Amino acid sequence: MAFESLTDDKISDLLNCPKRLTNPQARSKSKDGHEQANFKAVALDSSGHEFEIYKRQNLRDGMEDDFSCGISWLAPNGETLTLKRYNGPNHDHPNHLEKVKLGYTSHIHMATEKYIKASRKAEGFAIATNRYNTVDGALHCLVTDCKISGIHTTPDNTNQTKLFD
Amino acid sequence: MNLDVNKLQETLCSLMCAEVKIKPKNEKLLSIETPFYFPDGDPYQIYIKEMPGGIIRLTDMGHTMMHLSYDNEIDKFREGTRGKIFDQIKAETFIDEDNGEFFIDTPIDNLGFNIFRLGQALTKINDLTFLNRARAESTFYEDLQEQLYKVVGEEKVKKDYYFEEMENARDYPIDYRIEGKYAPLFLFGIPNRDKARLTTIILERLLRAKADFDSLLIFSDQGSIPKQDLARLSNAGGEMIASLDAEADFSRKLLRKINPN
Repeated sequence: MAFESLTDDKISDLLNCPKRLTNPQARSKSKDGHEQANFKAVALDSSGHEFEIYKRQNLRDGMEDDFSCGISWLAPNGETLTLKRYNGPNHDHPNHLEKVKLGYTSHIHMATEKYIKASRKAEGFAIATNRYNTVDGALHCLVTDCKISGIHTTPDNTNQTKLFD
Repeated sequence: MNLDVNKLQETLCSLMCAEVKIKPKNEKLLSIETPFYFPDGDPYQIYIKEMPGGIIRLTDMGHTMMHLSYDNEIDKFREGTRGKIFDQIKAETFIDEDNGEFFIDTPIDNLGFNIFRLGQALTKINDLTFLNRARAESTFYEDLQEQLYKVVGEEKVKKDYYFEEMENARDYPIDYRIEGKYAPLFLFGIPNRDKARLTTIILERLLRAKADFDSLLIFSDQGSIPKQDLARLSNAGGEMIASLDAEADFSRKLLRKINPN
């Protein structure tokens, strides 16, 4: 599609520009058995970039670890590109180009030039993380990493067990 | 053929078995790993749930629709053309749905067959994302150009033209310029309401600049443009073609306006 010329530098600029939510009061709703919340954000610099931030949690019994939070860039051509997505640990994500599986762990998808150039979905690459274990913790990481203001989030206490080591 | 069919069958079976693994997820669910993947590399999620009467349920536990909701407004999958295709997919692949959860109830003997069937259904449902607005618009412009070049010839068409005698001409792009019989023909493709409004602005601007031109407006689907937008566009523009399906109208109206030499 129209993202072939997108470089890692441009992706980095999009991720690192300060942003502010324009609809912080957006309500969560239940749809097709999952809870979803959708926010909009704008860049606070002169770029005028627009973004969507989403939060999803599977509500079915036994699927508590099936959750996701992501940020997409609304490109001027009307298409959207997922820049980052923070997934729960309920599946074993493979990085197809590197031929590496991450295991059943929380992981962060990120758009890369490498995957775009290989005609893959931009966010096909992911890294394993232990920074969160709930959807709220994932949203906190996303908001912090992508410099988004205008929303209050709470981190997961992922170091709790270490206190007693 | 020198291939040993039995040996091939044996090898294929063991390779395919290696690609499919069952793991306990919790007390109620077994997870099946398959070689089916979403475009972003995440695997399809297929689970086994034990049901009464020796039946097992193969289910995606609602993950597929949640996954599609990252990039799509999933309500649209149940409306209009997408909704019809969505229902067709479920009917063709014999899958059931409960509030966004896709499943097949199967006896153990048919487990393998039904894993493939559910995988095929989830792939088809995922393919509904190809019908999004940006892609539909993009193919409209490609089809328009193909049809235009067929009727007029590529050498006579200037794509992305700017009427430079107008102030800030770069802000008012014209999709195609063709040498006309009496005046240049400016041709606009209109896939949606936004483009209809933009085209109205461009035409008004050209008229205000006293540009000498004729115009031809080609819609992806004229019926989808709100009446008021269409009325404003009609006042500013020239001939219209309701859709690219009207191939005869397209040729006739176009050839009537252009310089044949």
